[in-house]
Amino acid sequence: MFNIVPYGEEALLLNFKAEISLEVHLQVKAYYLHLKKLHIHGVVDFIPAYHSLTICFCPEIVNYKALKNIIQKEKVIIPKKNTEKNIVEIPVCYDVEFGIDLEMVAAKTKLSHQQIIDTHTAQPYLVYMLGFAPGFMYLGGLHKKLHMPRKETPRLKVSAGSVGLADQQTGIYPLETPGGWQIIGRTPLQLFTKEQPSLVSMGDYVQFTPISKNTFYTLKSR
Amino acid sequence: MSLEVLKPGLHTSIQDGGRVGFQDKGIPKSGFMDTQSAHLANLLVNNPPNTSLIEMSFLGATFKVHKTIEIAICGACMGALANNTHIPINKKVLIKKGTVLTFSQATRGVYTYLAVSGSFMIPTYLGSTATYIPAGIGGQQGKLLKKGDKIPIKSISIKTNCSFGRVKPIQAKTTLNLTCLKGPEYHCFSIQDLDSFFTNTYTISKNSNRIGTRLQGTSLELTNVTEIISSGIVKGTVQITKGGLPIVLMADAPTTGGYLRIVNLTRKACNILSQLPVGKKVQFQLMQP
Repeated sequence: MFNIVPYGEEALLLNFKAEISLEVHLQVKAYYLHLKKLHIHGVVDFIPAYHSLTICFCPEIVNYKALKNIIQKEKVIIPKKNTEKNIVEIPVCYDVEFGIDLEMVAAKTKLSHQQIIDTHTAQPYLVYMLGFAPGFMYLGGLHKKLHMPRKETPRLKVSAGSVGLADQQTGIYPLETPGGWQIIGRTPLQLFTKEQPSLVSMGDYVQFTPISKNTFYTLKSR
Repeated sequence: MSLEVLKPGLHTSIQDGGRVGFQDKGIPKSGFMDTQSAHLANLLVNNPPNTSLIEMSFLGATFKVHKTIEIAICGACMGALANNTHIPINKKVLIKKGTVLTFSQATRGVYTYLAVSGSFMIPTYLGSTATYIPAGIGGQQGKLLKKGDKIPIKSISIKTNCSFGRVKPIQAKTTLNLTCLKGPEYHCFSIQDLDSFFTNTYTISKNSNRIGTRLQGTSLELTNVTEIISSGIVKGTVQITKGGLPIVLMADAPTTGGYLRIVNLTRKACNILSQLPVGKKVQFQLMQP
């Protein structure tokens, strides 16, 4: 189901089938939750992703070989279905002021701005994983028409709340960070606060709702 | 009973061993850039290695010491002065109450660590005091230290005799080879690209920071595979962007990313790299297992 490879001196990587699918997501999730519960001495961090699980460890306490052995011996039950159906609504303003790559995306996809918005808000997206930055969620289920390559060189600064596209993925930048995604809009919501490090959990669903610039500023000022 | 910031310097923050256990929520580890120097500073003043201390970058800060303390300075040389007297690095030093500690521009290295005996009293967020600026967490209200900040120091008894506790300075490296291990996507690169990656000399770009060190030089050709499905990132991961140039992810690295991970630096190489200023040249060298 997966292979285990070393990843630097302080981590190893479980690589599942290289695809973005519900099937693989459920495998990663099951292994992540199972192994985290074991509280293996020396294991300090887990990074579950679309098709991989990074496990960070203290090489002074546990080594790659020993950890690999432990993981291989574990019997992990993989559920067939996603039992969580929690849908979180997120308002997005798709104005060109915020969607700085919208023109470029329109040119490349040969879609109008409205068609891009309609396609992007057509259905809820599964939260495949959290990562990249605090509050960031990787969403799956993006329509093929909106598949866009990343920027050749990442921008040094992308504004907080920016909604972007990258390959088969769509997502929101929760904080101002460098980034290489194509930006099509912005949400007024704060995705990361100290009190609530993440709005959603792995396995939840997110529904984008288009809003006007006025609504954006009204919500933002709250 | 505190250390007061008179001048904040360029990029001065509270750091510790890092925020572990929350990367599954997308929260980066952060912590010391040069772990070895930070550990050394803490050990010199009898603190556990991952105790909170002050990290200064390139241009040091000025502090007023409101309490007699023992300190240790490790990492880059910033010509530290206690009032007008030069104080050595890599040595435990007794500083009297009322002294002004001045750090200037780094002449060797980039990051300087200031540890105090008894440690700074900083509230933790998710188990760590490490400042992570992009999310405004850790340290002093999630921010860089600024003029007027008073950092409380936990009281311990001071031994007046502090002639011991000196370590041999870490020699400035003349060969700037960065030792690394094969990364998860090592095999996605052509033989030609791997060959040029290890023979190229790369220059440290000015766009480097606590998140990552960007390198300039000859771009790799790259094959048709230039991206992966986003996967985990750790300190020392070297990504090749679509432009064909490497970025070495450092302490504030995002937890996941989508560029090809060609190699991973060893922990030692991360420490070396963190102390190299803009314009320095480096080469990658694969460690034979």
